[in-house]
Amino acid sequence: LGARCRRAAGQGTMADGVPVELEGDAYSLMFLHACKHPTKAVNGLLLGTAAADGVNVTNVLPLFHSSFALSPMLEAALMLADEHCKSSGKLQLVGYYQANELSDDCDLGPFGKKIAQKIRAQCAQAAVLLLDGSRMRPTADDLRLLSLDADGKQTRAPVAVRGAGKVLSRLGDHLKCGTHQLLVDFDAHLDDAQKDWFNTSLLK
Amino acid sequence: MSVTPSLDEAERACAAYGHEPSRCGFDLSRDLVMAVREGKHVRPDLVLKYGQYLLKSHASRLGDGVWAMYEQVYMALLQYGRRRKKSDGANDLSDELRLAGEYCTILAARFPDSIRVRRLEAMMWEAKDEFELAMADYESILKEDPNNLFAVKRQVALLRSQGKTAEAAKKLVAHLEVVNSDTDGWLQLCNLYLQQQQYRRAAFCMEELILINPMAYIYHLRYGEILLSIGGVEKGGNADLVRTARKYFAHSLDLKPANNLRALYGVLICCAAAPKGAKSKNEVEELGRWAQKRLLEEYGAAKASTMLEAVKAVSDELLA
Repeated sequence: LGARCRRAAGQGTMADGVPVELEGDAYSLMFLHACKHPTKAVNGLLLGTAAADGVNVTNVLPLFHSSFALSPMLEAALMLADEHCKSSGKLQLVGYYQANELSDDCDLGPFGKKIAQKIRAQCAQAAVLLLDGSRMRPTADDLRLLSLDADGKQTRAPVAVRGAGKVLSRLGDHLKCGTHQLLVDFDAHLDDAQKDWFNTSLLK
Repeated sequence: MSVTPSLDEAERACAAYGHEPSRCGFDLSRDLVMAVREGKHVRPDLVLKYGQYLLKSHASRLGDGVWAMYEQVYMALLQYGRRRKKSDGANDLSDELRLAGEYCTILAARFPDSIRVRRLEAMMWEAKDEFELAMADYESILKEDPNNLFAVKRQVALLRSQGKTAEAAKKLVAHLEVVNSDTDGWLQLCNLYLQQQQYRRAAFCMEELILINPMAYIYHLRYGEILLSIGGVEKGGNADLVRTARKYFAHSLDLKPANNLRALYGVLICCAAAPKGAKSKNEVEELGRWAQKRLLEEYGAAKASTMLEAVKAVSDELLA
């Protein structure tokens, strides 16, 4: 099943895309988000820096695990994310990630495409990553991430994680001790203002 | 019967014993599993850990509650367990599925001819990816008991898990025509419509829900969100929809004034989207400023200083 997503993309020409490098914590947070809601689709924003030769993702803001179709809370989240970037002085909104409800679904979907296009409008090299849920054990050579363009088509852009080996083993430990249950996304934050959707101390 | 603690309380109590069921003992473990059951939380990981301990070590102490426990742990095994043994014989069942099979046999022996047990057997087919067999089992249950809620819902869930969203919606509609007070059904249908971008139909579902329970703040809130999504703030906006959405967000705040962040953000966005130079401009501005003040109060009370600054900046921008 896992090969299905890749095979489907192999037909026809794939665009090159800009290389994406993720910091360990950013990659871990994305996966913990997906693992916290295994039966739902989840999405979130990628923050970091972007240049013509590559995107570096240092932070991740998990957004929703409920319907992606509703725009008001998404608008609020995007504005707050923008403001967070502005006040940090060095962060930019550099991409979007999504994990679908069905494990063999590698389609970005209409809502994912809209969000991706919006982010691409502000940042031309924005990374769009889809978590490939058909097998959930990532390895350093296969991070279970598909890189897409804003139309949802796969690109050949290399995606890497800094210090992948160590990051993956720490991720395994986190999952074993249930860290993912403590992750807060914007959805959860909206239900309780005390919950920190920046997850500043989750991975410490 | 004592009152079951909330899931948070029960988890904290178990944390004191290192989350180890045998150290937590019967009472704390049972409290935790009951908290998941009664709160309708989805935590198969917890149910498996503590429920299995209870069934192995304290089955007799559970008394008549043991059957419900078997059922709950059975479902958790199907939800959370592995499908196959690692040694990958295609027909090798994983430990979890084998154990689930044992529990099902125990239940079937105690309750022969039970539709409830037949539903559980059908769920086993689902766990083994035998979708046709599962569908057939549910059909036969429905022949005997045409309004069996569980069977209908499993069929809808089956269709969803195969990606057949439109068919799932059709089935749910047929069910709701007979049982139109099924709030969970309406909520699921709403989500299915949203997935297919059928916003008007989704809105209709919320209207039905509001009729069923007009005091539920969450229905008014969701309705406002759907209207605003249709009204498309970016597409130049449909002023009527935005104004109606605003009313529903405001009503949601009437029903739940505290800790209702979504409605406050909703009001803020609607005020920002109201056409400038409208007759009710002062009213809109007043409402917007009020929503901003309430938001800052909520974040202040929550001592969330980073959010406080960000929200102030964002709301100032929106209301400018």
